[in-house]
Amino acid sequence: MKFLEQASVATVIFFLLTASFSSTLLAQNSQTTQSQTLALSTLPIASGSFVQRKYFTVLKHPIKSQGELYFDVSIGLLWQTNKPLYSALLLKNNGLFTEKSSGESQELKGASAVSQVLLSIMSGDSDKILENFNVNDSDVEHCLNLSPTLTQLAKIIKTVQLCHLDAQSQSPENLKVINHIVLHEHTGNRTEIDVQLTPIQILPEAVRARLQ
Amino acid sequence: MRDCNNWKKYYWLQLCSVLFLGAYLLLFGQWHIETNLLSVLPHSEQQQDFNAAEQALFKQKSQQLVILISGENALKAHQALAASVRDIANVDTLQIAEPSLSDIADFYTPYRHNFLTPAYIAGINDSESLQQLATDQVIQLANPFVSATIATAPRLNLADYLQVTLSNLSDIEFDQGIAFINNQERRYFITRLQVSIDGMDLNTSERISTKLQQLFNEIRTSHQVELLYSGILFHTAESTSQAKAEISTFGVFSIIAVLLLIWVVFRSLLPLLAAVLVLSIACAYGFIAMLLFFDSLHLLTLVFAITLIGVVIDYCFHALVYADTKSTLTEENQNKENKSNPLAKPLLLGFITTAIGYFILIFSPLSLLSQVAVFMIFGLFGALITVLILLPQLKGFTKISRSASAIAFSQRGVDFFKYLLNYKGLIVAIISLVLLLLVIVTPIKFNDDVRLLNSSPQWLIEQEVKVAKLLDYQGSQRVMIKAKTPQKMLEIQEQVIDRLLATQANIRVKGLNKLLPSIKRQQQHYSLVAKADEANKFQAVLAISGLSDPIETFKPLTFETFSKGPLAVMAQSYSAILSGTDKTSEDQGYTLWFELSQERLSPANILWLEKNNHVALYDTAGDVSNALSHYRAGVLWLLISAFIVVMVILFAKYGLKAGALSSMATIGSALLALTVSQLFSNHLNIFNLLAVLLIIALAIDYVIFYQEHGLQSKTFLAISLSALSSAAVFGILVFSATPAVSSFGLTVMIGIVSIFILAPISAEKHKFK
Repeated sequence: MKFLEQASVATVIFFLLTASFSSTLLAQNSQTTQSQTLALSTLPIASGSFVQRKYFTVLKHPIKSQGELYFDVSIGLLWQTNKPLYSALLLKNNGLFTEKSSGESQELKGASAVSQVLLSIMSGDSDKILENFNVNDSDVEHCLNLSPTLTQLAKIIKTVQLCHLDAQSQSPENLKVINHIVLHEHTGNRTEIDVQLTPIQILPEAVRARLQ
Repeated sequence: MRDCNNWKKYYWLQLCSVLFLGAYLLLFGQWHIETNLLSVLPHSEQQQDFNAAEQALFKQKSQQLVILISGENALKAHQALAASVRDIANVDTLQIAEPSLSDIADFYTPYRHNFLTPAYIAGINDSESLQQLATDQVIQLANPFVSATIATAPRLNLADYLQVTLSNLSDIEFDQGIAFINNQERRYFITRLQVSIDGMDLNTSERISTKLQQLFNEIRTSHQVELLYSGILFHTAESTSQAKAEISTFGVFSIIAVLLLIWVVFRSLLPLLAAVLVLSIACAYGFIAMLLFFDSLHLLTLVFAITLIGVVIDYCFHALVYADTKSTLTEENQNKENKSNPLAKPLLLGFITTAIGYFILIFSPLSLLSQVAVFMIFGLFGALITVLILLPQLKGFTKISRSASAIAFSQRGVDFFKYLLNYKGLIVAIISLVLLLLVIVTPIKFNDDVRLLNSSPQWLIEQEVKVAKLLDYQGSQRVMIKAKTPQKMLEIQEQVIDRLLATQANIRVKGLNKLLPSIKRQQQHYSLVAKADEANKFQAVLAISGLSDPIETFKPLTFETFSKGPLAVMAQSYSAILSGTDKTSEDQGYTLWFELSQERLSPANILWLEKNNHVALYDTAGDVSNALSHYRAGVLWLLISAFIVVMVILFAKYGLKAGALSSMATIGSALLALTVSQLFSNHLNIFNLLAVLLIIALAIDYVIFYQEHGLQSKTFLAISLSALSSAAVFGILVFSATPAVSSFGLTVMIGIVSIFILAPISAEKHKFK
């Protein structure tokens, strides 16, 4: 028995993000086939910011947090929340770790299988995404619905919605990128994440050091 | 002549009685063969106290098998295995259920204020810390623990508690309801099988093991997967077939070697028949005595019992070599009745001395030793009376004579040793010097490692280790706790874990301790929450959700309620109720166990555990090693006692000089056997010491015959044959797969060579003929 779905979810989402950000993607029209949809082009190194809103069914208002993220497919990924408090999630080559403001770091074990699958996604392996998710059109314009087939993830996440909400949001190569992600849980809770990502040549030295 | 007829009559009477008794015991006795070595080892008082707890907690687990499958087609292979296993009798698949998180969250909700992690406790009097802890949880991406509990436990202490507790429980994950473990980017699907065999049915074990291994091989081949398996059943089956093979191979080899020797020396069929008769009767007496005194016969006893052949054949050789003496002497000295049987005195003396040596072993707490001793004493007794009473009655027995080549060989041997006797002082000095050097170069050290007793093949051991590493229980230790009430049991568990973690913080604990804290601890946590709530420390935390969470009256989660909840399987796995033998029994109560890994317990902590009557370490391997160590020391004292007995008898019988020489030969050969054995294996063990006991038994026979008859051709021939046959019989044990048996064989072999050389030198010159 292992209850590290949380870690798995985090890993999945991060890599969906990294893969999706760099996709040529998103369905200009809803007739796009899955393979076309997931014709990914890699964005190997990037940095950016995010704003996350968590909607719990029992709460009237969402819980908002924001921070920054960095990734390099060959090194790993840093997801750092700065507000309302500091916390960080680091995916290194040797595992997944959480980090608190005190600097205390803890490995999240049991997420190896998911990490392994999603490392492939990170490097732009659309076959792996299709292996682990069913991709469907969304009712929302400029959005796609991904249903996890990986049991661990499917137990918590009902669907992942990937959206390209702002037509102005384009990469320097004029590729339309995903900037809005919604995680729908079976419990009815959902998490919305707005991201802004910029391709860079190399990760900042401080980030590289933390990922190694 | 009348006396002789009476003896003959009595002999047949007792032989028929013994054989009748044997047949009865064999057919109607309660005996069974045991392969588990622990069954013949003694247990400490603490272990005995925990016997019932051990049975309740681990008996079923000891018959479980674990199969790990990895590879591209692992899932299909796993399913194929589950389907095929149903066809094998006495084997069932154990389902590993994955409890639902929402069920667990709902179950704990009524008791939500009773569960706090150390981090939560550390910050409970500081609003800011509590807020930070709670915020950290709610901002995490889709934290299932928060999602499942925030509505009913908005202080988020329950989400924090369940996350920490359940994450630490095991590394096993689930895919489509099938348990698996990941290791170095490989996924291993886990199958657990429950074998149901009454007692230790060796044949059934072997049959099931063979069928399962065939099935595993088929699955490996057809699905191209890596398949690992682990379980006591496979070791039992391997040990059984190993022991069976060794008993038959070594037994056949011993008999052929001995019979060949007889044929070469006597060139006649009668000595062969006489030897087979004596050996058969000796084995029958030994076995019947074991059936009479023991219900549980250990297979290892039977392996050691092969050595009886080596000692018994000594009696045969003496009888055969001296077969023609009786008639000659009777003709020459018809009035000298005492000389009518020149063998009676030395054989009887030899038997008495040997029997005394083994008799001491009967009272050993190690039942393996008691069984070997009973087998040897009764076997030798059967051989002795057969040699003295039955053999001389055989038609043509007194006409048995030695071949010319045997006579020539023995004469050359006698001449050689007579020559050596001229340098007796020098030889004694050289041997003493060699012994001294050996002791200095390789000081005697003992190794009581349990692996000495393990005859499992290397591939099976390696596979076992790999499975243990993958499932993270390699090198782990199990602690058992028992108490009259479940709450007392849980409290003791907490005290023990607190103490161990306080002194060894790196230890990882897996058990019920976090899932079900004692009511006392729950009350402590509840009080902390209530006190902090009164001081308004939770305002900021509750403000995150805007929900309220009134503190109600304390309601404990009890052992009984937990055992019926969604984690009942954990309660069943880690605890048991001891029903006891009767209502007032001391055995009644509750017991549980927990597992410690990542760091071995320090000696100080082990000592501390041993002093606690409610606690015991379940460490079978450690128990065996400790028992071996303990009884090795015991056998050492027995050896010293045996040396003293031998010396007293030899001094009393043969006077100061001859007694001293004989004692030196006996003790010298034993010491040489030990020191040279150590040269080969770098350390000694209890089985080397047991071998020395046997060497003394043989050495006594040799020196007594030389003292009684002097260094003469017949004696030398009989002893040479005896030494050669014994060396062949014991020598072959060196090839045993069990290190214990192999050590035994090596030491006895070296001892025989030593005593063969030293015994003639102890003979006095005036007795030369």
